[in-house]
Amino acid sequence: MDAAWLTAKRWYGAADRELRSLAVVDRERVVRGLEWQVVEACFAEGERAYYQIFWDDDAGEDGAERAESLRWLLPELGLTSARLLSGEQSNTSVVCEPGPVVVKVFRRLTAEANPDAVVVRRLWDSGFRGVPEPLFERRRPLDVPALSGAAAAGDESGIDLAVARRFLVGSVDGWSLAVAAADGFEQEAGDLGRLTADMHLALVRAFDSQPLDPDDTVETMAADAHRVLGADAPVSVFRRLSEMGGGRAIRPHGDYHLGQVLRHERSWYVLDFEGEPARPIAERMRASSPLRDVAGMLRSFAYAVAVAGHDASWEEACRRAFLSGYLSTPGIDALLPSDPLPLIDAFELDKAVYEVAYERANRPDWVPIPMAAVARLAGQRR
Amino acid sequence: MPMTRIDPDDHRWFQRAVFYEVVVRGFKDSNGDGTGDLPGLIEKLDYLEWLGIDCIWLLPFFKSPLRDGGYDISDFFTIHPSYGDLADAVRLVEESHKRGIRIIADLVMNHTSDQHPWFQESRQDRTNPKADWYVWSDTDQLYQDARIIFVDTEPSNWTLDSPRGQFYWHRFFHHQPDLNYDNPEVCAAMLDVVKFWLDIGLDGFRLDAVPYLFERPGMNGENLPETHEFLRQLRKEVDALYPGKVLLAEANQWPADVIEYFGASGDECHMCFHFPLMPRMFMAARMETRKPIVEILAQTPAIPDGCQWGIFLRNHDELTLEMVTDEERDYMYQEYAKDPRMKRNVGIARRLFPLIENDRRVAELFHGLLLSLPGSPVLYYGDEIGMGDNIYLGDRDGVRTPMQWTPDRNAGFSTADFAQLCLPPLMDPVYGFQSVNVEAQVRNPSSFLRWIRSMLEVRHTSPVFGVGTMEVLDPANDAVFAYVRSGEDLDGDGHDDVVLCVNNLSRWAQPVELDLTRWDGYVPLEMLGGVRFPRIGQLPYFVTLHPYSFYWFKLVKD
Repeated sequence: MDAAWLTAKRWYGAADRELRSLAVVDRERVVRGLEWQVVEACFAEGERAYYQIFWDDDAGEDGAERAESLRWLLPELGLTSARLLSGEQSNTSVVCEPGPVVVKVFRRLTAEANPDAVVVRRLWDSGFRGVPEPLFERRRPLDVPALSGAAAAGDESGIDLAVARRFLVGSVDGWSLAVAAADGFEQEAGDLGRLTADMHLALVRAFDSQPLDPDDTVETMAADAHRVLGADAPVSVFRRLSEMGGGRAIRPHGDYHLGQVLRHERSWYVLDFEGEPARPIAERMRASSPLRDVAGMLRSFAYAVAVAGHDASWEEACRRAFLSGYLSTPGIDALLPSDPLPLIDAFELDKAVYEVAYERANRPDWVPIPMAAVARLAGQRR
Repeated sequence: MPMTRIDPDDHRWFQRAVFYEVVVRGFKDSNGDGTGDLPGLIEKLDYLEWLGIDCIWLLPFFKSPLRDGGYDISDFFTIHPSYGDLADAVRLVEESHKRGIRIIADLVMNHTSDQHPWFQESRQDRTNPKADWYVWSDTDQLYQDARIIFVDTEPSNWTLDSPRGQFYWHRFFHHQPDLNYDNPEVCAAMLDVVKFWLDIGLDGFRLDAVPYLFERPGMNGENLPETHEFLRQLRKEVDALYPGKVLLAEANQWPADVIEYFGASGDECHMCFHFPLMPRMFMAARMETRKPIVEILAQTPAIPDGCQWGIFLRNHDELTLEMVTDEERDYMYQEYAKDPRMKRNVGIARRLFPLIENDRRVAELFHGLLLSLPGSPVLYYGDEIGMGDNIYLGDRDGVRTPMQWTPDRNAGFSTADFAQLCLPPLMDPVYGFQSVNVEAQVRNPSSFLRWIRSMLEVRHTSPVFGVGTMEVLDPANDAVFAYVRSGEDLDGDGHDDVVLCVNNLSRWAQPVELDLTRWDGYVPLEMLGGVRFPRIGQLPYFVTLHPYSFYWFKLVKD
């Protein structure tokens, strides 16, 4: 394993930082020629990151998707075979038999509990069935002071290394469905709205809620909008929030869009509660309004329309079905201000502002997609 | 992943280990359903650590219809539900390793249960994907040279199966069809099974019934070259990925044939059971002469470097008499199976203590032999407290009755209702759990259990018992069996290791004169008490022995 190999990995996630050194700080043999390792990366500012790899000597490559690795990691599951499903920004997912189960091997190890491991387990235990059933979480005390220090103080069961969940055979992700569904997506969007509300209610049961202080949020959002859109940013959309009150703040999904939901046997399932992996965990776990997730999904509909070329009525119908499904779910009104629509507009605008900045930096051709939303929201409220 | 006291770089641990065979079903019931289970065994690991054993050998714990004590496996990847689940197996491995105890498990390579999905698919018709996973034939006349093993119950090695209208081959019960190892898919599938369990953390396997994997016309279907080729491949894979794991072959064969299972250069199994030795120990004690043992040892070839015999007094099967002459078998039946109910197949289904009529002196002598003859000793659960058997139970269940932990209800084995127990614990006045149990013997410093424990301690003080050479002495009195185990400074203390064992096989006191002139000037230290015996000189060394007594002397330079 060398620096070039590690930094080329999608889950390295530190391309913007200057790598000073690499060291294997914990290791154990899985089978001969295959070793489990925790690699410590030290960066210029004294920051450190920890990566979990299964080093395969013969291949000169990571072997996390090998059955031997997964059996070592999760012996209780009795896995007989494994095939790589996907490698993502912070983890590698492998589908295994029997089950099938999907094992998510975390790549970037943190002293804090992995949000995805914690949230999915607590949602399931609170009775929410809109996540794939969590079967097992693997934690382990590591021989790494920087990691185990925090773990020892908090959770003695150690650092999250992997989770196993039931694999939904034949499921399709929401993005692919929406793009393909030229004839309409209302039924699905309505279901998704109800599921989203159920998820938020379950998150409150699992993590509790607190009053949302709108002023704090408004200031940040207005400052971002000015920075991205300049002086004529429609910040009045935010101002109305201070007048209305904000409802409750909860542990949100944090990165909610059509790519994070799966349709399986006419039901929706929510994936990936890790939030935005580039941000620190404490920030990702911070409470915010559930309507942020709602706005994220609404923006995702707009992108689907733009990419698939559905007509404008497609988006309008989906928005209406989604919001109506969400807002009509019993109990959800306790988390929301009396009139939630201005707040949804505000978060949608905030999301669109973020998108404008992102598209300018990465896909300038796509800037019109979020700009259309900015224009719509500004026109509505001015 | 957890703390472990197992040294992963010790690849030859099995040469010095004491094994302990556990029948999970009869060991300890943790959930009150009347059947022993893996969590129950975990509860008793502290006991096994206290006893001083190094490796547990588990009888099959896989999913099974249990028509042959679990040797009829219907899913190699699943634990039998009444024993627990895979998480229990993982915990068992972890908890054992924490205590420095390794675990091997029985793996049945030769056949599956007829309930196994592979067979269910194979029997459908002659064209399905698994049609060739078992041995099918239109006639039952093939391979007539192969003997029938379970002569009490099976008329033929072929059984007609109606869906497919063909006969299938089975060396054991008719509900245990033999896998077809001529099919590379079967070899690959079984290799996956091996990898699966080694990944879980098992330290190896006792390979059940290995001589019978292949069959060929005109041969007896045992020890074929193809079988050895498969074992070499298996060993190669295991060594490549899992160094330090052990393969222990159950090949109930004559020593000259068994030796083949180590491979010419030690490239097949790490260990093989030495089956013929055990009945000869019983014969020797009854005939009061060392001849039967000395003869079989003389017929036993040297084994390749890095290999080891597995030796035992009794196990979960009948005391098999397949590897004795007809005359010897008659003698054994006459001496040890006075009631015909005691006979099973070609053997005697009795535990150690009933076989030797509960004679503590013989039990000590036999264990003295077991722990000092070349090979790694395998103890059978319950023999350490002198448990008895129940010859009125079917098949071999008579020697698999519940472990007797306490004098309380159900022998402390289970809290289930008596009628619910998998097998009734012994309750007779001699061997019943009221008089024979772990709790009482742990408390009593002069118990057989405490004696065994101290013997294991002594054995562990010297590697010579595991890896030393063996030289049989030839004194005039043939009721005395004396031998020297030695090695060149095996324990690293700068001196050669020499241990002299002297055993009296007779029920009367015996004198013996030993030629020890080679160790002129050495002093024998009796190993249990550390007492110095008179210095060895040029004259014959004179030892007197009580009935059935033995000595272990460490010979040290004065």
